[in-house]
Amino acid sequence: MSTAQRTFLVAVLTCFVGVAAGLRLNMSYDLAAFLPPPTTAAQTLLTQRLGQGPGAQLIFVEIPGVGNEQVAELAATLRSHSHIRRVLPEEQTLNPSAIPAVVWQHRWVLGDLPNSPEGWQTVLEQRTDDLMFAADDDTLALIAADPALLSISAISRFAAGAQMPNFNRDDRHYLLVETALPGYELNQQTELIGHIRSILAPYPGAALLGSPVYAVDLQDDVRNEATLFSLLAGVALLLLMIYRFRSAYRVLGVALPLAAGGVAGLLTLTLVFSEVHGITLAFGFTLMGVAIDYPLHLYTHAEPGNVSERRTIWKVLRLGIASTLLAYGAFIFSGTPGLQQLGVFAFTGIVVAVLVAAWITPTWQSSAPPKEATTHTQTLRFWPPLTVLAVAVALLASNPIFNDNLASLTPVDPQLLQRDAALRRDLGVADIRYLLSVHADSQQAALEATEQTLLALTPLLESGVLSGVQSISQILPSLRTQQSRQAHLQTNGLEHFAAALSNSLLNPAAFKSFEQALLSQSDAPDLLELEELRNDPQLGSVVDTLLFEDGHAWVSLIFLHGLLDPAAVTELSAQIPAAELVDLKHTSEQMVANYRGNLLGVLAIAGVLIGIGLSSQMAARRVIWLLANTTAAVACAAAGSTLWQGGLSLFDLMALTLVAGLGLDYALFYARERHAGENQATASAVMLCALSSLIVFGILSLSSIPVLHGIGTTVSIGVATAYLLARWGRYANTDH
Amino acid sequence: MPVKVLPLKWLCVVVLSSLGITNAAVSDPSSPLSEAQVRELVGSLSFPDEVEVAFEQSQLNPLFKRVSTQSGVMLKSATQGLVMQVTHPRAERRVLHDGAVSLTRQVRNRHTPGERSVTRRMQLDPSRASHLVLLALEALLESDQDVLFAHFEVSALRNSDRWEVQLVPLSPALKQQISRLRFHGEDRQLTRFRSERDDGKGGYSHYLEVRLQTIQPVSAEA
Repeated sequence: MSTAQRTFLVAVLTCFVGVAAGLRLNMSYDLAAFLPPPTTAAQTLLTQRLGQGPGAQLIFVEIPGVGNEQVAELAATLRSHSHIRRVLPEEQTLNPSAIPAVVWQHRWVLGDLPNSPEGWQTVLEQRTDDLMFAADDDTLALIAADPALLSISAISRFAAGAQMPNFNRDDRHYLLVETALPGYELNQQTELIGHIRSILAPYPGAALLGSPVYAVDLQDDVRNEATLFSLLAGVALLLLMIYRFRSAYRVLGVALPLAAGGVAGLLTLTLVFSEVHGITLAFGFTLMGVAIDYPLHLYTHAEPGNVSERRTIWKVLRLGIASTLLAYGAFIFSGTPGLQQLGVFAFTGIVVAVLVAAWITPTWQSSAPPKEATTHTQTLRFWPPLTVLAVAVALLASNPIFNDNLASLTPVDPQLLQRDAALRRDLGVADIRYLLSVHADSQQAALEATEQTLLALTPLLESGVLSGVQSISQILPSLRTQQSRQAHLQTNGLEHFAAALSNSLLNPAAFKSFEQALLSQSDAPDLLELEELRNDPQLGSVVDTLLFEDGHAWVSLIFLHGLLDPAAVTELSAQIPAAELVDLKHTSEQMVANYRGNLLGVLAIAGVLIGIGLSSQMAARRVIWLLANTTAAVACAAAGSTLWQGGLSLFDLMALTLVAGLGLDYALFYARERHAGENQATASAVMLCALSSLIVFGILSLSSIPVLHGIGTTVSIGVATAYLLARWGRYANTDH
Repeated sequence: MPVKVLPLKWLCVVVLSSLGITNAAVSDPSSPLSEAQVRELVGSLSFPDEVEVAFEQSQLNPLFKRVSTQSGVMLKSATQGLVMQVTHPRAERRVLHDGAVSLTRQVRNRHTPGERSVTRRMQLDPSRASHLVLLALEALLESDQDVLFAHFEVSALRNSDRWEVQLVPLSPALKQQISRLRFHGEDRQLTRFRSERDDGKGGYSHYLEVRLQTIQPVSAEA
């Protein structure tokens, strides 16, 4: 079979495999898949709750220049969407129709009735004042049946944020939309935000803010920018190949191994994993970029007049390929599903790319070297890589090396993020960084510990350090608390009430039904259980966010609103062993740091194995030179990244792995012994490889998206350094 | 005309007005106005801003043993809307502005000494009787005829500089809770407003009455 026929066959197979992979492809965008396995309770909470909670599910709607009535109509329209859990502010009238049936039925155990005549006197005075303001029939009925407003108080306490009065500022009204969608469900988020925007269309100047909005808008921006830059890089690369080879057939021959490797890697992923993460695809193809070097070397050395033997070239390539596979294979043992996917994809892709390159590139007969040709041994200069390494290490030592802050990877405008934070503070929204977590062995122990924690927080609420909290205890007291309240009803529930009522303006005859209901409740207790709340259409989903089972333990979350002093909360929660203030930012940074350590460890082992492998093929001096050059290029790229980007992120570490692979490739070709006639081909091939990588990643470094910009910058610096060190890091001694 | 007969005359007028008869069939110094005249009257009221008035509110409903009273000071502000500061028997601040009302009270802390301020904010819902009263008050003070005529059957009586505007809810459901609203005034000053629910026996099961008396204009510095 001729190489043309093989090329055609591979092209057809690539198309088929691509279609098959596309049909099986099931995408996921859950960032938790890329995080390492949690090792602490706080880390477990972070990975489980990513994409949920106050950070990921709140949308702020800003509407300038409208009246209260229009805002109320807008809120009512928004509430009708099935993916919107609630819209704040909510009505705070004494309206019985707003009380869920389960709350009304169990109101007796949801709050404390006054336990003294003075306590009842205060309550009845408040009801008198309420009636002086509003005496609608349903208000009268509610107060007559529930004079202590146990039902309304339970709902109000639970709906923290609904009572925040600061929903309009400077002629701008704000609505707070709480969605029922996890943050990573981008398709549904996109539909929902599009729906909200269409409702806001008649209101000029209306704006949406919040994490879901940024994610959706960012998704479009990233997709558009990635498409644009990919197109630019692809066109630039194509032009380079056309200029170099002047042959469409050869250009196809260079591109086909990479394409075949990509679809093969993709198909393997769909066979091994149920879902493929978006980051896997994005970075998998990046890591596979090294595969383009293999056909470039083969085509360059196959040109007429070349004295290199195919066997010799393959011997060098094999070393580079084996080293790359060792490094990418390390990802498979990282212990994180996302990185495992990346390792599988890159490993499979490289293997297939190599096989395809070997099969479709033409074999050639090398020309015999001229009689007067000399054989050059390479004298290796160690001072260039060591100098570069020393400078890079000095730069690394004087700047923060690692950047574990995931927030720094967001491409959202910093001014927008500041405005977002200020808005959250002003509106008293639940804090997105801090929350209290209560762990216990049983549901009841978790509820009791939560009650103790809320009690400890009360002074902070009354002093303004906290403006509000949201917790399961506000709507589901522990059985112990419910039984205690039940007992109170039996002992002195009516006595104090009757005494206070006789001294008030209120008519005792109107409260007979309340007294009878109280007596019935005290005789036949009806305690509230979690399942009843879960089954309520209004409360169920919120309840599940606040109390859930995690393995053999129960976890209760307390969301903090308007938190001014986290240290005060830490100090108070220390009184309750089961409670812990979770700093999600610190926790995520800790996870990233642990993960980085694991990854670096695995890569270090891969590096040692590569060194051992190289040592078995060549002299130690040459191996040291190769590793010194590669290490210097990686260090230089790392130093550049810390200088320009403030530190290496996890994604930069992956980029450095690529730099190592490319750098080793260049150094291997320049370090080998060769005839004088091979110099031209070697120089041409390596320069072409370096130029192709520089073009692609140089274009990527122009992106405004921090992750893409970072990878582009890191790889560009590394590739340039690796090429220069390999090219001028040795000189040839003429032997004869 | 003997003074003691006057309340009966007024009652007749009120009853006849509530039946939708705008022309009183009595010889009375107060003349019922046509709709155009009513609109003109309401449009001309335009109560001045920054004028402080003392108010006394009395109310009766089935949950009260007897009439309950509150008193305080009310101010119509160009920027804040209508502010009612209740001073007796317990402090409460009510702010009515642009179709919403907020109530602020001091609440004793349960676990620490002292009190804290708690505010509830509500969007006025015209389907609720108590909110309808507030909407009517706000509309009258702002001379917003459209709101009045949108929710009520409006009639008025005038006797030189004294006037009375009577509102009957258009909604049958709300008419069961508010038989009528009556606003009384002299020139551009509102002196009294009252909400009544008939008990079907010639009396009232519910009523709310607020009497107002000007204290002094509020200076710009104040």
